[in-house]
Amino acid sequence: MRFLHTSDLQIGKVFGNFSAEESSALQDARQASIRALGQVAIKAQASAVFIAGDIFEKQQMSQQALARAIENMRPFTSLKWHLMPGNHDRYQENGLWDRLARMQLPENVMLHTRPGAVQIADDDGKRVFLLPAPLKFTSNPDDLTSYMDTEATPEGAIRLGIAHGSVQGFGSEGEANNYISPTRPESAGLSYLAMGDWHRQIRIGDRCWYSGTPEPDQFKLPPNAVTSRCNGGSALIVDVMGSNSAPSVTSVPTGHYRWHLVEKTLTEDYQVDTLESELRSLGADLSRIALDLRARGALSLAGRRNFEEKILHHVGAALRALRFDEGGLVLNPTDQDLDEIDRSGFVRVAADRLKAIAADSADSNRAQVATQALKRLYLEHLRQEVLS
Amino acid sequence: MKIRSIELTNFRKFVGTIKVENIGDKVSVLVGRNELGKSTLLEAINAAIFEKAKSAAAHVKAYRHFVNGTIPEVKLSFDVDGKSWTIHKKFAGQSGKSILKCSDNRLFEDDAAEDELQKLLGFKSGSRGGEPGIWGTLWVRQGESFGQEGLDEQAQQTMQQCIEAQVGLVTGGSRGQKIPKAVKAALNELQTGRGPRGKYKETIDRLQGLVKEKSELEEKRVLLAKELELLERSNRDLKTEKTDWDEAAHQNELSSERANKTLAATLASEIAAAATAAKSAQERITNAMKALQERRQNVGSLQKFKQQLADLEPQTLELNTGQKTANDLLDAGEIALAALRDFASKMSSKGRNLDRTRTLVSINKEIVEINSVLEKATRLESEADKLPEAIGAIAATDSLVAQIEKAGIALVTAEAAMNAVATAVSFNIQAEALPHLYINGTPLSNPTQALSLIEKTNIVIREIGTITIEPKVKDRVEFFKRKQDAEAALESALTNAGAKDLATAREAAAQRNQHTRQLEHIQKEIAGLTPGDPTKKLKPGLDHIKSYGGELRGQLKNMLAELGFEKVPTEEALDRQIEQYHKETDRLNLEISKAGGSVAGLKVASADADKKAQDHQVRLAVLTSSVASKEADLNASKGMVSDDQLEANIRQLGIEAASRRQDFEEKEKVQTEPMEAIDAKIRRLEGAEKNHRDAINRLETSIARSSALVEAQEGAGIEEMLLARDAEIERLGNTVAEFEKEAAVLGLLLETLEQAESEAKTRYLAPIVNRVQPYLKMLLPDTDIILDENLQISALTRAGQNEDFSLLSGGTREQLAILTRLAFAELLLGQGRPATVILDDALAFSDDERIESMFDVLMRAGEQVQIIVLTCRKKLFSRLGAAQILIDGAA
Repeated sequence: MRFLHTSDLQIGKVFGNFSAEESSALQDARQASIRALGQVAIKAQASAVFIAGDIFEKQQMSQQALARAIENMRPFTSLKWHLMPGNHDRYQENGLWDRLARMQLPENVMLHTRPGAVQIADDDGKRVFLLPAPLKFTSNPDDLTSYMDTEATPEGAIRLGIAHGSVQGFGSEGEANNYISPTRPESAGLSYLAMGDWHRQIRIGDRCWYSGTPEPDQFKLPPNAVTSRCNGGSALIVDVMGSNSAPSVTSVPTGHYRWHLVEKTLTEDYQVDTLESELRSLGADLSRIALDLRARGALSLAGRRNFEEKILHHVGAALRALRFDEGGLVLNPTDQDLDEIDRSGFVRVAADRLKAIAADSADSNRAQVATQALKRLYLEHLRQEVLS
Repeated sequence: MKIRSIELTNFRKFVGTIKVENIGDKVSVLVGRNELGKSTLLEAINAAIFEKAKSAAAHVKAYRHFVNGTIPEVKLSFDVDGKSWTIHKKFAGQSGKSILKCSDNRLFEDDAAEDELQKLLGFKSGSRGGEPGIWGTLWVRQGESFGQEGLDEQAQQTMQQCIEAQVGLVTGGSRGQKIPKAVKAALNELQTGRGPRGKYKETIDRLQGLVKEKSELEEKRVLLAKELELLERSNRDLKTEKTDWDEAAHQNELSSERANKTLAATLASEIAAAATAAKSAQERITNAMKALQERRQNVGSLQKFKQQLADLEPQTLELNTGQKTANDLLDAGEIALAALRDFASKMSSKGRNLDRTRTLVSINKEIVEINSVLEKATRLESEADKLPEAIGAIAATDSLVAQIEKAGIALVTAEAAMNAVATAVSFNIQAEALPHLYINGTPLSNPTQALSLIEKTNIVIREIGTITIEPKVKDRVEFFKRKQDAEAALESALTNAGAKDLATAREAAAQRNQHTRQLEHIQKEIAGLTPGDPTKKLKPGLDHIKSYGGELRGQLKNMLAELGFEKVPTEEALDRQIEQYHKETDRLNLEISKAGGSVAGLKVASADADKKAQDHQVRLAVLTSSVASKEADLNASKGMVSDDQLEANIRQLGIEAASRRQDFEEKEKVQTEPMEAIDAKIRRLEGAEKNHRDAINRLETSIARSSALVEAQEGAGIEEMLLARDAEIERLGNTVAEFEKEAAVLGLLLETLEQAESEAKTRYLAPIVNRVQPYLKMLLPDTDIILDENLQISALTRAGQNEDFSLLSGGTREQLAILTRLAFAELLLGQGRPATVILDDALAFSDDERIESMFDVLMRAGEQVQIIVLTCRKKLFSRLGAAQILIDGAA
């Protein structure tokens, strides 16, 4: 049996750190990821999609959000969508899952809200059973997969597990204390255990994988990252041959947007140009990139003006979303900067004083305000120059 | 620049040439009469310098004489930088002419002259001619000297150049001046003194709105979560409630308890019936024993009976009183019962129906009882029916016996009367002689016999003869008739009685009486069976009770039809209904039942009393009626029923009474649960059932309510909305923070700029202030002036108070304005650019003292600055002590 394994779509998640327009685009992408997953699964000739929890961000979702997610699954009639509650969208009586169940779901959508083996396919005479471990609470003290060890299925049947939580011994990347034994596939005779909760894709064992989120949602790099690309944006195509053989697992890209975290230290004004070309080479289509730019170091007022124009305004306009914290990038006004403001007169006196305040490390807040004031004076002066 | 001379030809009102010469370095007073043209002189100076000779401007054309229209000319000589210059202009439009000559023999003409003049004096060319710049400030026209100086841009520049040459570059140029304004404008867009405004405020307001919305949503979310919990709990509770409840078992238990109640009620009524039966048996035995005793008493003498009768008298009274008391109590009980029933009848229609049903049942029961009575009565009647025949067969009645007795007595009396008048004849005859003696043909039977003879009697002695005795009796016939009548009456009475003699008649009469008494007894027993019932208006008697039974059956039938019953319901069913639906009525019924019981008891007591009284009356009657024939009665009675039989009867009744008592005691012994306990159980079970139903109702209502609420809320996606609000709050929070930062940045920038500018201004204005100060001390000691950045006086400080310039008096304003002009001129002088101050008709508003001070000021300033005073007041200005030059010309 071949199926697509994914998790943590977290439809409904919002991005307050971005502008409303950026946030809206990133939100839409999460809802659209269902279609992307369907297309990838169809292309890979898979017959099912397993979503290992956190399909939705919250319990109390709007009817439209729920209906749209289901409607995005409906057209893929050759795919069976298997949905299981995670910690974000845990199963609660009369809650989200009961609402879904009341919605007259299409035949290709199946909800797994109770533990227990369910036959989901007959794969060339081999019956395939799905053993879900749905979450009823945000945090569960027990390993919800432990029942799988004793859950009976017919002799020779293929057993597939689906769970949501943190695998012990691999450090906690998940959000809650839902520990799951990494040796569950062996102890429960599972051909594959599809895991959810961690947003990065990772192999725990031959038969146990985290798919990661299909659409990235945070600026978090994998450990020992060699590129600036952040976690998420792919799913897994899993090919299970039989109950005894290890499955073949292939990663497939699914994300619409790529999230990058770029850290750069700028000490000379010319480095702004280098940074610009680096950022422009992040991808052929910058409009599909969300960037967290963490610039550090110091620039002159002129360099800073260049930085704002080229990086923040130009490259920023090309990107889908840009987050920039200027706290790490200090201003280092040169004499030339100050001369440009004025060589003498009270404005120059004021500029000199602001520079002195900015250099005073005793009051960092005031220093920061003074830096900005100086930058403002510089820009105002240039503006007046243009006007006059 | 210092003006040396001025020459006007055909300028304005002047015709011909007017020349003012020898104007000194210091203060010169040019004196002219009014209308002579002092102001025209000042205008001519301005024209010579600032207006181009070829100018076609209207105000330049106006220089021509307003009557002659001749071409005006102005020739002005002045010194600049140690050289003497003369500018000569003819204002003739296109043919106008300018010639500038220098003491170094340089000569400039026309445009060159105009250009050089501009360069020399440092003013700009404007569209309407030259712009006077600082000269406009220093050369004050008539009527303008007391106003603000109104430095134009050029004048300001001139002064700034002067000042900056002294204090260094201060402003950073015109751009520098604009920066604080721009920053201030940007800051003002963000906030006012009261706080944020514009977009900043809008953002804060929106943020606050969102925070409020969020808290409302949070509240809704909490409510929804609670509702979900409640729904889950209610569903669970409902399931438990239904699972834990065994309806069948509960109903069984309840039915069983209700059956127990019916059983207990039935038993109670049976006990009451048995008690009545036992009592009645006891009464019967008592009666029987009394009868026996009576008989025994009958054995005694008649006196005893009389004594008894006498003895019974008080008892009669007592019984009557007892009977009355019992009847009164019964009446009261019945009234109370009627009141209760009346109250019961006021209950609901169903209650009334149930009461009617109860009545129906009781009628039915009564019918059964009546039937039983009728059956017994029928039996007694058949016995009684035989007795009249027996009675009829005996002719002897007590009255006939009395007639016989009376007839007997009458006969005896008649005979006694006859004997009294009769002749007594005694016989003492030898026994053997007896057969020989015949009295009236009848042999003598007794040897010693006495005869009372009333009529002629023949005593024949056989074989001897006859002795005739003829008594002389009066009314003999009467006596005989009386006796014959008496004998006839006796005969007739005996015949009537069917007896041969009195004894036989008496025996027969006693026999008859016995039968009569037996009949009476049976009738009494029948009457006892049907004593009547005042409560039911039932008269005593079998017919009445039969009729009453018929009425009851009719009632029963009618009530069955009315109540829609096919048959009379059982008491149990009725009790169950009443128990189930009318607990209230139950209690009332219990009271009625108790009252009914009490009335029944009272009835029994009353009936008992009645019966006792009746028995007593009967006994009295019997005693009274039978005093005379007690013995006969007794004998007859004994003949009918022997003592042995009576005693046997008593024994039989004793056995029966014992059996009834035993029956009662046995029934009483049966232990059933107390009614109260059964009622409590039933109440408990009914309560439990009600609680169960209530719980289910409550839970189902709660579930329906919660479900509706949850369904109404869930579609909105509260948490999704919250996420959106959170994001927007974060976003707006960032924006507000940016605005705050922006405001802080602009604030600091503005503060820094303003402080730097203020410090610079202080330094910048210091040269002027320093120059004004000495003159000010001369004019107004202990005052200071405050200049603004435009070098205008903004206020006067006097005794620590700032007085706004515009509020000062006209004279003071003029004086201060002159002081600053002098200061400007001195400043220019300091820059090597000596300037002339011209005052046209100044100090017109100064008082005498102040004008003296001003003269001192002018003279002191005149030490360094050329001052030209144009005035018409020669005398006044002679006190200035300066050189006076008369303007002399034709107007």
